[in-house]
Amino acid sequence: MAIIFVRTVILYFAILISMRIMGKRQLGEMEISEFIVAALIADLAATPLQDIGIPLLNGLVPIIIMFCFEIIIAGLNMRSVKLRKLTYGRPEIIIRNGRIIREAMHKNRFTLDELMQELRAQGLTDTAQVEYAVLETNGQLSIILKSGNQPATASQMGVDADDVSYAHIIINEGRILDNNLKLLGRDRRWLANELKRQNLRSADEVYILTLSENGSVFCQAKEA
Amino acid sequence: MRKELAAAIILALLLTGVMVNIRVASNIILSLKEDVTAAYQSAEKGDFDRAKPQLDAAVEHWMSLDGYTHIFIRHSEINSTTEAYFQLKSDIYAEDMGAVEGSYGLLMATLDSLMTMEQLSLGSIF
Repeated sequence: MAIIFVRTVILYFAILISMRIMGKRQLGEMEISEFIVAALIADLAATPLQDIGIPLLNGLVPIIIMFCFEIIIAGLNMRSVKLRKLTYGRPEIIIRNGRIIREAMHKNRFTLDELMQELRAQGLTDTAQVEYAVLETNGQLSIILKSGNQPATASQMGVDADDVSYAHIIINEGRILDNNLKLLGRDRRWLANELKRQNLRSADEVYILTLSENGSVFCQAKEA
Repeated sequence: MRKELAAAIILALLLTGVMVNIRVASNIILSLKEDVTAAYQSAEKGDFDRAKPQLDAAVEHWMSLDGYTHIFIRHSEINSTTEAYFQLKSDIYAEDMGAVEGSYGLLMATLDSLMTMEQLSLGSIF
């Protein structure tokens, strides 16, 4: 049992480090090659965990090899469009000017049911509303609506809208994030005054306090 | 670029390690086979008094490689090799030449298979 414990710890950190270095995309929208690596790594790690008669190296070495290839291929893909097409494929237009392109649907083995499901998921019921629908290399469908069906923007309506300002967390469950305070040019004295203004005695009483780049403050106290 | 370079270096190091391991494994298996063959030849000549300590030394040699074998070889293979060693030892101590022939062949085949598993060949890959 001790062997399994140690092996699990080693493999856990090996996979964690691999996935972390490979990048955040691994966790969400994966390309085909990334999906293969993620699926294989999980399987490779499981084998020496289930059978302690198999040397740990038999699981670790393939994980390291695949991790290295993934890093190299991802790096080369950044530099070469041709290689990118080869490894990830190309985005394909499925709907153009409201008309479904059958050839593209067949080529990508995309059924009408799947297409309608994707459209419904994005709040659409009629392909005529769609200018373009593009099947991305990660399998997601991007939809660009016809101009007449797009929501009006503030500038189209002639309305002045406030610019969006990024809010930084200053207090996270009672913990003061000094780096964020410094980033926004504030200090603890400013924070103390702000807490007094919010009728709070100390940061310990705060659940979350954010400060936007335009100076607006949001504060929510911990519930009693 | 640094990440890719580091990954390429790690791959190159791994490949070198694999090649070195093939050489190390071959040398180890060859020396193990020599030990066993020396004991077998003594037994073949009817000199069991010489064959017994020779095989004891061969078993000792195999056991001393525990640190290496448990890292690189499947434990089931290690167990079957150890069993083959002790089968030969038992037959030599029983001074039964007919049985020694069989158990010697089994041990040599087991050692050969350990070497074949590490060698790069179409057979071992597929």
